[in-house]
Amino acid sequence: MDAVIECSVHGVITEQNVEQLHTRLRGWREFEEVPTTVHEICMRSFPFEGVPSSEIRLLQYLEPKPESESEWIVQQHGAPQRGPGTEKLRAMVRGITESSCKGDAVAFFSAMGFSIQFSCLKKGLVFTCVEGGMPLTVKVVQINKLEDDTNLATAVPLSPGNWVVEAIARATTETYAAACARLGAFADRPALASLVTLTKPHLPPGRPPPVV
Amino acid sequence: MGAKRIYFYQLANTKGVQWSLVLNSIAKALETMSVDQQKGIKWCSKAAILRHKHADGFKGHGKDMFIFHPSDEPHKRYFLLRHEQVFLEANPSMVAVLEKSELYKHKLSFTVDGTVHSLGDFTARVAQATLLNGKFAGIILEVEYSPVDHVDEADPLLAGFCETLHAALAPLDGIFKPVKYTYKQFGLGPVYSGQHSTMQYLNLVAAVLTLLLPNKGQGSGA
Repeated sequence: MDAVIECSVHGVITEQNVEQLHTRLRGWREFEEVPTTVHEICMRSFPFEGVPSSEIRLLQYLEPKPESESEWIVQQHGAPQRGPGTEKLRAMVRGITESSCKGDAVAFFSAMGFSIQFSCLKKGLVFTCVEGGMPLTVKVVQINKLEDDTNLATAVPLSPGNWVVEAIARATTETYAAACARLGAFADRPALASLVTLTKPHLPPGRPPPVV
Repeated sequence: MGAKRIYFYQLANTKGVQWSLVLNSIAKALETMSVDQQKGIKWCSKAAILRHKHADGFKGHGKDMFIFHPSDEPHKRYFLLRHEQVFLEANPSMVAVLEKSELYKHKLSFTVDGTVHSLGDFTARVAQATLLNGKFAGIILEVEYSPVDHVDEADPLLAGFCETLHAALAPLDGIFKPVKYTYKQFGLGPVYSGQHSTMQYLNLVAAVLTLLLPNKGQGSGA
């Protein structure tokens, strides 16, 4: 199975500019728009005797509604690529291993030795563009932290007045350089750059974005 | 999915028995009883036991993971943390996700490989079971009764089917011993599901290990 590489850029946008960003993305007709609400839980395993701790993300989509209840996507991200030549890439590059499952995923991973680090509710719109066989996904979401990891009613905005924009392209080991270039070109579109600066994330996704 | 029951074929006297001939006899008897146009349709289910790399698991938990890959649901894998009795139903790619965590090491592989036969409302699958190193582990019969998905209602009907098959095998004097399982113990409901199959196969593997490794009391960890 070919390794899947995820290339991504992030940025923060003020709430006042969100609607304008939506309008511009809609104006680029190659994008299809879908509302999104995702419950995301970050879990980490306990390190021991030569086995480092590892992190996984559990995602449960509330919008678009999945076919069955208690369906989770489980993602494991590799470390971001470093080394010579990486500085020239316009996006962060890292491997991703993903699966979907049904059942009490949190209980299952807890029983394996993972514990919840944080959880959040991401709500907003996802714009997807499939151009030349290379899908580009742009998420414009507000991140809400959950006071109680399993109770979605306790969601409060993590950084009030700020939304997060994330542009992601998935590629293979052969095509990731082109995907990064594409993300860079997208970020440079003047209509976009005037509203939000998209760069390699300095912080892992989900952590508080810097308050602008 | 109808309710299923798994049986382990046991002969009183196993000395000098040629198991491949026994398997053939059972398959032939099923072929005679079936209405299949096509004979010898294959099936193959697999299971694996993974053990946590840390001797006690995580604070005493998560030591043993059972992974079941059913023949009739090729795009699914069932995961069961044995002692905690927590199930997860996932895509095959979940195995890759778990491998990335590097928490578990492979302990045992178990394969059942044989033929499937349609007999009206019953579907019978007979197979030989083997461990990873090719070691023969026994003959398995899996019977499914499609019209009923309630475990307790289907059990007597499935047992009745075995009696019919037993009669058809007349010279052979083995018995089909049902794999013991108490679905309530694992928090499962009475409606049959892939999780019930997973539980039966876990108990089957444990029973087989007990038979194959009688001196290793700790081996099966049942």
